[in-house]
Amino acid sequence: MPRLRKIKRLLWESLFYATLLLLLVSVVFPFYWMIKTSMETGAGLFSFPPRFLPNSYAMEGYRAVVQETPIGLWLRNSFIVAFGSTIMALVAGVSGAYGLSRFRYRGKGSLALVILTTQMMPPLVLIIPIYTIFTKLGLTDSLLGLILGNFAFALPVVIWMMKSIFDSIPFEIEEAARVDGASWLTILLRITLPLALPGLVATGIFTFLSGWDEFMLARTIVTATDKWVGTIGLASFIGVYVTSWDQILAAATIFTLPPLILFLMVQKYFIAGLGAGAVKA
Amino acid sequence: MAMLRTAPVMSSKASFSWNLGWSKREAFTPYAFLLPSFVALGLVFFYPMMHVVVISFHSDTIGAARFVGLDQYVKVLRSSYFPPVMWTSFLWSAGNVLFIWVVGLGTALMLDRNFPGRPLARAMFILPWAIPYVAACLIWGWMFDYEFGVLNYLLQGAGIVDHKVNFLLACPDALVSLTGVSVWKLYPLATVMFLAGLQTVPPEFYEAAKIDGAGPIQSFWHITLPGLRNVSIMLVLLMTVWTFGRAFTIIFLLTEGGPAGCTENVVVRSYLEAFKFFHIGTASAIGVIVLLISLAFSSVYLAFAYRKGLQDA
Repeated sequence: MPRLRKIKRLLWESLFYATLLLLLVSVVFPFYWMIKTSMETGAGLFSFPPRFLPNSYAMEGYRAVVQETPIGLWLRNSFIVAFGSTIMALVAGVSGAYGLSRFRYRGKGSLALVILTTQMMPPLVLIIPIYTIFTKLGLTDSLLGLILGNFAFALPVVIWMMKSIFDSIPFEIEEAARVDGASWLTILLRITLPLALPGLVATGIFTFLSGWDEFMLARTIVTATDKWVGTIGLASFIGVYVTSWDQILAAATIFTLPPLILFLMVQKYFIAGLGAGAVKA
Repeated sequence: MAMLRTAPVMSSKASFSWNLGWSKREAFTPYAFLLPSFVALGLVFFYPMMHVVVISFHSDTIGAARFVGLDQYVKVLRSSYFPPVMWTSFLWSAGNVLFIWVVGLGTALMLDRNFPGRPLARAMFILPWAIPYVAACLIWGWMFDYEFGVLNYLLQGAGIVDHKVNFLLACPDALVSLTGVSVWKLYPLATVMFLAGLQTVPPEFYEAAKIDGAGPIQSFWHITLPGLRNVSIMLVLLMTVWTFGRAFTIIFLLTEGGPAGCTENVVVRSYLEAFKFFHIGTASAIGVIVLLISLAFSSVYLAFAYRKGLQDA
């Protein structure tokens, strides 16, 4: 009997690890394939059956992409747009989130509901009017336009995430500070925000990644090539710019690295912050 | 939650100069905090939203759009493309939500167990989420390649198919392939949410169940699933609404709605109407319809979830 049990347990364990391994491979393999292909040269690329190790480590694709396409400019533009819209959304969103979280007032429930409703919004419903408004204001083909657009997408998310983070911080300290005569703004800046720092960082990174990743708006309002962001530049590789997959995937790797590094750096905060929001919601 | 109403009584004696205004000031404070956010939200969010409704009541004539009332909506609803794009959108959402839920939960359950290398595995499972959509499309586009793509080689090698699959250029296949990319990209979010949810289930519940003689399947069914109810409700809502109204980049870049329109969903259709054919009025009407469907779905869904007791789950 105990022997049978042992065998059953062993079977379970091997099934567990086999499934885990399979899932892990399905998650990681596309990454590996991107990097592997980006290092190859002509002949290795178009071999079928494909080789599972790169046939060269020549980095020829990287050299070609960096020298022959303005990828540096695209990355710089992406950074300006993502960073600018993140800062704006954090500045504008934090006080609103604090107000929603800390105070009782008429219409509190419905205001929170309005913010949640913004999550139901298909981005297209914003992009079409933004396009017509920006055309009138002369904001198309400008990074400022892209910053404003991404700010619009990010603001409700920031308010929502920061509200759930503030909700998880006990209010008593702030009340005590208020009784001692500190102003609410001082309390927010000196007491609450430092406590909410991990959550603030997670929210900021989340917003930055969304801005870095944004494609639809950029594709719509930017045509001038010197205002292209990374997503537009990468998308242009499909068909137009170059046709060699080593260069395309070298560009994709370069474009993926900044968010990936950022992400791995703050992974712990990120998951904790989002997880907390999810459980509370 | 603790409220600030207790504070004023004490300090109103100390600071005479704002004695009179104290309670009014305090009543005003929340609005002062909310004002910047809501002014900004109004300008960049709700004003454009009103604007899109206005555009949808106008004709498509560039530069000289006339007010046509609900004509655009009637035109869209009666058009021959509307039923198929709605059907594609529906299939897309249903497929995405189902697989994201199942794979996300399965992964979370595995990562919740203790095993050597768990922190590393957890970090790796989140990777697809950190990769930009456009980069993901390029990778998968290359792996889907009919002639040189690695996926055809792997599927044939494993004996799953006996001839090459036309991942992006054959009809139902393309929709399945794109759904696969979308699930690959989104399910880590579900895993993170489920992992957080699993931490809220008290371990004593499992111990008690074990003492009562419940097997792993029974405790999963009666303890784990009910414990994940709130997370599931939120996840399904978000994923349904997102995959319905936001699915754009993967489809637009990998097939642009093809082949023969079989991957064209409402979002892609509306985008093409607006920025390829310059039918801004028509595109706005489609956009508003998508928004209304999303809102209607969310309210019915939430009403249903709350009626069945979201809180006491």
